[in-house]
Amino acid sequence: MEDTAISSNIAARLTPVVSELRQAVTSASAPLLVFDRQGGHFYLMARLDPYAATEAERQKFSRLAREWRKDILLSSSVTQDHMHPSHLAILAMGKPALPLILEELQQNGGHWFLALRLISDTNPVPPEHAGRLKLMREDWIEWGRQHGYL
Amino acid sequence: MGTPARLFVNASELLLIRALLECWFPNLENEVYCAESESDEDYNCIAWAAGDTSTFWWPSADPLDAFWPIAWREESKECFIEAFGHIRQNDNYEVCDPPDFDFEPGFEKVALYLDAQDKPQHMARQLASGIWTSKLGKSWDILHQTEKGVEGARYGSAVIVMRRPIQ
Repeated sequence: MEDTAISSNIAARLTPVVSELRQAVTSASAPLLVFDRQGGHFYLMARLDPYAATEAERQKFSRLAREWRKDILLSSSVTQDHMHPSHLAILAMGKPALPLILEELQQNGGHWFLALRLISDTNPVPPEHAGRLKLMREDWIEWGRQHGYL
Repeated sequence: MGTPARLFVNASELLLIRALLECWFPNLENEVYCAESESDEDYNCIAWAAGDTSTFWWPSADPLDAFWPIAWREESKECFIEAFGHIRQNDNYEVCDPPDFDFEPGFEKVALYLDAQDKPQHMARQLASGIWTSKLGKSWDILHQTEKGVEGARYGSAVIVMRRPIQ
């Protein structure tokens, strides 16, 4: 009860700057130390999901995904698609790319399955769905929902 | 055999598509050709050559990445020939030796395009009218007059042709 009252008090004092704070915390790659002038206290704030993408990562992903799509449009080779520099750069982004890939898969489709497998270190696609992209997409989107990415 | 969604575009979109196609495949300037289907990333040229519009075919090292009809997976012409020799229980494709891309009544032909390193890049299928149909990666499928229509820097050359008897 006391904890709730203290939390409400802090929240009320920080409310005027809460959107700026949210933006700062979302963009920060490390925890932020916030000083509450009115209360005279310091608070350590961090992103709830340490792997959430920053705005810069989101823009980078968007650019790389656009380049990749354009360059592999006429390719039938899964191997060549995977070896494309933009795809490799997305793989190198690691965990922050995961929600972005799932979002892209849900909105625009795409052959994101290797990236999803490697970054998440899991595979929700049963062997009988291999190559059936519609089913593979559905499997991954369901996995994304279950794990809070979508 | 599945039927892809037919392409419906207005005149200006059609001009744009033609400009793109001729930029990608300059040989098409010398042929009669047309885009037939909506772009669809769920199947590729290899699947389309085999008459499948729901699966992406490729002999990727990892079977999770794409469908391949045989256990042997290798990006070589030999592996593609083996696969198309076993995709049906009967009436499978056999290599035409020497290569003959001309229409032969009673046979369906598929052409395998190889790049300069002999790596498979594309496949096209000959229709009963004698013209060829190609799915261009994840984009449209097109009809082209000869196998040479989509030869060039992107897909290399049609080097191998296989045929199977049809009823």
